Amino acid sequence: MSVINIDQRHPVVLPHVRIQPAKGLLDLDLASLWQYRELIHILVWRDVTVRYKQTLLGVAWAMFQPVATMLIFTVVFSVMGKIPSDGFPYPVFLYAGLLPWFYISQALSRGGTSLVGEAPLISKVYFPRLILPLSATIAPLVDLFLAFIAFLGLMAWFEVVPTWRILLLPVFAGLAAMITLAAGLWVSALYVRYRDVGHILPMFIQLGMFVSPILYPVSKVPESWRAIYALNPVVSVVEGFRWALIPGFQVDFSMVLPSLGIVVVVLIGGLIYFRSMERTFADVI
Amino acid sequence: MSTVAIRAEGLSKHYRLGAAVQHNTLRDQVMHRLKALTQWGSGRSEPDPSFWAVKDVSFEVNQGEVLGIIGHNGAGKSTLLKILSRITQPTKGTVDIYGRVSSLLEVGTGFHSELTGRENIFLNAAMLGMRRDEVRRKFDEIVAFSGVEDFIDTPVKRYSSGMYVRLAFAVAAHLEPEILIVDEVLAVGDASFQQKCLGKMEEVSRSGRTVLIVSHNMGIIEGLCERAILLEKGRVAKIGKTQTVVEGYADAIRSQASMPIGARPDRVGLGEILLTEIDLLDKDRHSIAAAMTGRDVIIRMHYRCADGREFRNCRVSISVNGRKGQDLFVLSTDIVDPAPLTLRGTGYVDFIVPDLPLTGGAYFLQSYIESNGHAQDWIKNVAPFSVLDADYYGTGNLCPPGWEANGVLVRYRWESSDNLQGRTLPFRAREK
Repeated sequence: MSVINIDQRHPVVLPHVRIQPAKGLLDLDLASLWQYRELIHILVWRDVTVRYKQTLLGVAWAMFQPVATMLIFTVVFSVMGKIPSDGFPYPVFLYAGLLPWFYISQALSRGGTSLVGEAPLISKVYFPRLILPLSATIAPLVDLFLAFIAFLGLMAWFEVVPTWRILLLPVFAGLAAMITLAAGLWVSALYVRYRDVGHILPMFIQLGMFVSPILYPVSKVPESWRAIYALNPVVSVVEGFRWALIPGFQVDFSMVLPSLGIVVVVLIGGLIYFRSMERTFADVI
Repeated sequence: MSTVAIRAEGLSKHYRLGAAVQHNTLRDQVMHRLKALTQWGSGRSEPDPSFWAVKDVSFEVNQGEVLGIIGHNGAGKSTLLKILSRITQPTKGTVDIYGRVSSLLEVGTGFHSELTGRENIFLNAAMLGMRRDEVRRKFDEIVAFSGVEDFIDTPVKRYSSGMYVRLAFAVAAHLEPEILIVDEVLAVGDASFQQKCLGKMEEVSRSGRTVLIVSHNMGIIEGLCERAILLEKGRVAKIGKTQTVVEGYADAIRSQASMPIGARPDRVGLGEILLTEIDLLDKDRHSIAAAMTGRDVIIRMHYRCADGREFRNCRVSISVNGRKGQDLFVLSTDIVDPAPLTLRGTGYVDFIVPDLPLTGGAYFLQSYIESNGHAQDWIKNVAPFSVLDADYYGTGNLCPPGWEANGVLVRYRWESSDNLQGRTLPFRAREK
């Protein structure tokens, strides 16, 4: 081990930290996230690596899962259930919705359990706790990318040629991540305190698929319900994905704006709530 | 002139026992609120059980100083370290810290069993605050220190527990913070690895870094620290030169050990069989106050079983600790006699030790009773055990200073190249 030089003649300016009971609600201290960016990076890498360790198919699972789901759902809902898809091939229409949905459900269930799942870490090491739900939200983006590659194959099969709008896909993926993080902050912090969350979350995610336009088009939602329906921010993401991926897909963007507002409010509220709960995580967990 | 590395002022941490434990589900929380509401009118409300884990702790540590923190279990040592490492927040008071802090409250924190040794080095190092380029630079050194070169690309779930701990400590040992906070991590691994760790700790402290160590091993504290803090019930009971503080700790243990055994609250186990008393006897079974080096001694442990019950497969044991709290030897019914032991009613177990191999001084006893593998009654520092120094080797020489209540005596002889006559064989040993 090399020796650090604390030279008296050239005093090093040492970083100073003051530990005291926290005051105020608005001290979000996002700068500390930047300091710990390497930890975020390595946790994301860990989550991605661990997920496919000791599996035969490895990362191919990230493609296989949505493709298999798409095939089964197409048979059940399109062939048997005759659910319309606004005139686009149902498999393409469905898969474009499954893409963000798989990401959101995965990221939310991982992000929501990220604190309780790392309880030993929280009681033994210091780092900004925000890193845990954050990296759990980022990691499944890798799966999303792989599932997207599979989608390109599907498009080729149905001879769908993407337009320039596909370039805006990252924007909607970012929106999906923002929604998931907003929800993940609340869920993960509440889970530390109330283990009920462990029962509620899977149910919530399962039902979420049906209150979002994954299996059916928004046009099937009765006109009078749409204003309320649009408050679900997942609607904007799914519609955005379809708009970017399927040429000629029409989106009523007036539906998108209110949900954006909701996301911003929930995200900021989540940050404040998370920060205020963070102080007691190590004591309660 | 020395500069301050850590300055703690009036540090306190308050825990509410009920809030954290009982209301972990929504239903409990709702019920609690409802109960509080209905009791509000009647003016009755249960006091929330609470306690101060750390209370009004103030101290300063200068740069380059090695400070030991000692105290009984539950004295607040771990809570204090958790506050200093920013894991939990104080309820009151402030700490100013000048420099990068790394804390090792446990080795291998964040290790993932599916990842390989190599991957875990990077993961663990990042969690402990090491930069990636720093890890890359020291990677070979870390692997060499851990001694698991051949398994570096094997998932750590296939490691033996020893390898796991060695790799974990190797990462920790290569951190280069200005301030290092260590909790009991040395209590792991085999003796030679422990020695290696101790060496590393000394190296760290000599390199001008500030180190805070919590340990139950007074030998380590005395060896590494110039100054120490003794915590008692969350407060600073003593602070100053290590030797004085360690003596204060020994005094505290002594006063605890002189309490009647029946009244001891600090026992662990089911309590269906209880230790009621410990007597010291000489070889004629007369009660004695102190044992004597080289003479026979009998340690009699009285027990009482729960009414009318019989306990099979019991094990009764007593161990002797030296003045620094180190374990010297254990006497256990099952080791010398494989026949199953059954206990009922009241009675006693005598441990007969011929030719007591201890130097003069104040020792402590630790008692343990179990049945069918369940701990029934375990008391640390159950009673003091005084030994009067006597001529063990029959040569007229007593043990050299510094060895009182510190280590055990063994029979031995020595020879030199000039004189291989074996003349030095101890007189009494030859007699036997």
